[in-house]
Amino acid sequence: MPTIFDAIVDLKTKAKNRRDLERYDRAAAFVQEAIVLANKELATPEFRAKMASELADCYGLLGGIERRSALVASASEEHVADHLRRSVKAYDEAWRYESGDFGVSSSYGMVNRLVTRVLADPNALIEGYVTDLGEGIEPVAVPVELEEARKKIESSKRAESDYWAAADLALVQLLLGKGNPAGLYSKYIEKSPPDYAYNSVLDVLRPLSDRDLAIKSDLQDAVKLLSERLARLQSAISG
Amino acid sequence: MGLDFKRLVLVFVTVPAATGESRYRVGTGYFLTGDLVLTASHVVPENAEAIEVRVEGSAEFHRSDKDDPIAWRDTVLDAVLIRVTPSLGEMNSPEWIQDSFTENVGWDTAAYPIAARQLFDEREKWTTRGLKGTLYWQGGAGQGVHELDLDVDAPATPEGWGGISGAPVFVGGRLAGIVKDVLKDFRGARFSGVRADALLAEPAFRNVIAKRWLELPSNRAVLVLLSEARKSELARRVKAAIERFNKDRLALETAGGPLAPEPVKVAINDTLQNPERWFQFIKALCKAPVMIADVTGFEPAVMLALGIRAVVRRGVTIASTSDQLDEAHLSQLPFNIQESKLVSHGGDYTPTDPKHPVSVISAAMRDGLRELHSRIRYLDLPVYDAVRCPKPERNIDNQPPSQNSSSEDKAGDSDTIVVLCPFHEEYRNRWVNISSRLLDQYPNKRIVRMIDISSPRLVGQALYEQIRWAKTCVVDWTYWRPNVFFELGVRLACSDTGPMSLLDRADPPDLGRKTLIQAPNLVQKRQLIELFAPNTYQFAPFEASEEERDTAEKDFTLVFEAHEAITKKQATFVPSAAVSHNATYRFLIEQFDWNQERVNMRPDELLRASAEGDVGRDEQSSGETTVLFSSNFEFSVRLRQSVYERWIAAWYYFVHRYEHELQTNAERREELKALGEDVLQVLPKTNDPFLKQLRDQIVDKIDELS
Repeated sequence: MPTIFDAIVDLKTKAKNRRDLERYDRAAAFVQEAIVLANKELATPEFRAKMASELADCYGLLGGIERRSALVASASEEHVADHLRRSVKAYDEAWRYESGDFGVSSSYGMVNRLVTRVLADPNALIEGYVTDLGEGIEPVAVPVELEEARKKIESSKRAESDYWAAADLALVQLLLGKGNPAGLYSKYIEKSPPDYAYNSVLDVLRPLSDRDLAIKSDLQDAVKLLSERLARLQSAISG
Repeated sequence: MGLDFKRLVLVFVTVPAATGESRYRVGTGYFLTGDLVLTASHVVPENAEAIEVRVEGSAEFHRSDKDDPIAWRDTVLDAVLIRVTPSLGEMNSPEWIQDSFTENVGWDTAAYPIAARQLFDEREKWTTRGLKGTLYWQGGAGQGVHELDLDVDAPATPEGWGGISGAPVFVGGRLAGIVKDVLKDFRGARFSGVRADALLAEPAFRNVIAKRWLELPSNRAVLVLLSEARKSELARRVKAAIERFNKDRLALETAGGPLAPEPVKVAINDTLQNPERWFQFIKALCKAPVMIADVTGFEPAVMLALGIRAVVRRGVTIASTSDQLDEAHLSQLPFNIQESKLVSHGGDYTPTDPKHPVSVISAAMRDGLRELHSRIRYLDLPVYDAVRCPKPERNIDNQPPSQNSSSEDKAGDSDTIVVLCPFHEEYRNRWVNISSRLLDQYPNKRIVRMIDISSPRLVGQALYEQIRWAKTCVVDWTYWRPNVFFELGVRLACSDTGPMSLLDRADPPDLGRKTLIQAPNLVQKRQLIELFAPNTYQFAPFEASEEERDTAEKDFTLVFEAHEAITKKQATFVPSAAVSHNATYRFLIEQFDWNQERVNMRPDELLRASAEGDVGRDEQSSGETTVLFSSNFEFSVRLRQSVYERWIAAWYYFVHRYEHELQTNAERREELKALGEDVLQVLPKTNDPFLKQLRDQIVDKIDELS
């Protein structure tokens, strides 16, 4: 008999498949179903840590779906702004579970809530600037929080073993202008992550590299580097 | 007690006749329990339309149970148990003959022969006739089943004896068997019969006539095996642990739901009281999803039970001791359970102390059941997979290996005699003595103990394989070592050829015994001897007297003769208080819960389990690969290919195997959708035309079914 954990994984799988098919509304609906399930059991003491971890994952997934939805070709400015705000909200929620006392160790929400603010506001990376996306969204000094995020990921040592954490750390350092892409992504690449991990990382980097940012060329180099690695991996897999 | 007329019945069976009508057949039967009648199998053909029995002195007929009329049948022996209603009520088991015959003896019975049938007003009247004669103790042997050889003091014509089949044969007031046939060439003066010991050697027969003693109330029951020396607090603590488990949402969600609130407590001595209890106990060993055994002192019978459990159930088995688990204790663990998780149920702790046995046992049950549900190869005892390995291959030249052959482990295991025995210093001379005697008897076989197996494979793996496949397995009970009894349990459970069990009749004390191992003065030692009837022997080392050596020679001659008999499947006498050499194995064939075996999984389920077993159920969320060294690029590529190809195979299997069912069966459609989602998730997003086409097909199928 499937457990509630199985049910949540199944819904996340459906959401990821719809996301990959660019059926974003349906994808978001499946994640919301998973969130409802996980929320129901969050108060159960034995489930608290596991459900908080699932909620962080689900909100992270939702943030990614909304970000991709925002950036579809020929979308109106209004559509872009609306969906980027939804994305930021979802990542902030993921970060709430990651940073609370639930014992969740992911850095995904923490980093992507900042990255999406950079996508939404081209001034976000300016020193001393506070990004404010309007009512209901916390204003954030992105450079300050990126530095905080870097310290947290480094001190957790998760980037030593976890390719998601390694990618988050590389991106944070890239955005902070600390190092070249090849060096920053070397830890990530040496873990031989699967193709879906490359796709996910590139889905974040590509739109950033299109923005008029001071680190644009580094971002473009990072996209080139990881695209080449992905192509090599895909070629090897296709045999 | 002798023949009890209240149990004697006329068996009336209606069978279809060639003309399309029915005809009847009669025989004699005898109630063994309130609702089970023993008679000859041929009296009740498979195609019987109706079976009725009439109790002596009554006009009332008892009818066979319509849905399940035959409780047990053995056509080779020619015996059957008919289940009838109404029941006669509670009744004691008849007194069976205890010993084998060593001289001709008188026998008697009462039966319903045709010769005694009378006609009154055109109605048949069946009356009993008593008869007696001589049972020839040396007759009835030869090829096939060993029979009773009976002659009759007052012969009738062979036809006149019709109806006598199934009549109980009594010798000295004890049930010695049933009549099964009239030997025509003896002109009605000689019968053959089914021997009582042949019936009692059938585990299914014994189980079905047994009084119910141990029955697990559900498939969520926890079996608690209590040791003899410490009738401890274990049962109380397990009950509390179950209560805690049943309130633990994580346990309920991930470990298959609540457990039966009352643990089923069994004292080890009760399981050994008689064969009937033994069979009910091993049935429970097969069925219980959780078993907690008190291994305090590593008592031999408890270890034997663990050995059987290790073969029959990929369930959760927790070994618990009332001793404190310190380094001294852990260093004394028997080899076979060194890898197992041992918990302690002894001592007093504050309620919040994580070492409190209630917390420890509850968590062990939860974690064990959860892992059992999520990992198809879950094990908490060694053995289970090892005894399911194929038989090792023979030497290419097909020659028996020499004792010193460097390639000895390649030999077929029918060329091997595996000896399960202690290894401590005090046993060394005994090993030399016994192995030397074995070599005299079997000069072309290699004789190995666990430490003689030269294979570089894991010792346990090689040992358990040998225990299953070796044609001859010698077990020396002397010193009552826990590891020997664990391995004895393994052999009893997995081989149709029982072990050659030996026991020094002097039963010497175990001077090399470790402090935590208790064996002296245990009642279970006597019970084990009664139940499994080991062969006693005289230990005769080099310095032994001539008399001792003579005795040893006689002992081992008997041992080898007995073993030859069982390897050649010859009938051997089994005392009614004992189980036959292979009874445990044969009973397990029926009782083993094969539903839990992964070999029964559908191919797509097996492929799914295999892929998820390698990379996890929710791989993408993890970020850490579970496969060691897969950060090696080439390895990671091969791993990924292997995983997605398994998913593709699962998809194609399901789509094509259930192509037609998918049109009509909603459940199948849901299964396919779920499978499709998982396959889509795993397929790499490359431009490979085949993979692209497959992705499109799966998406289309999911859309079509949604």
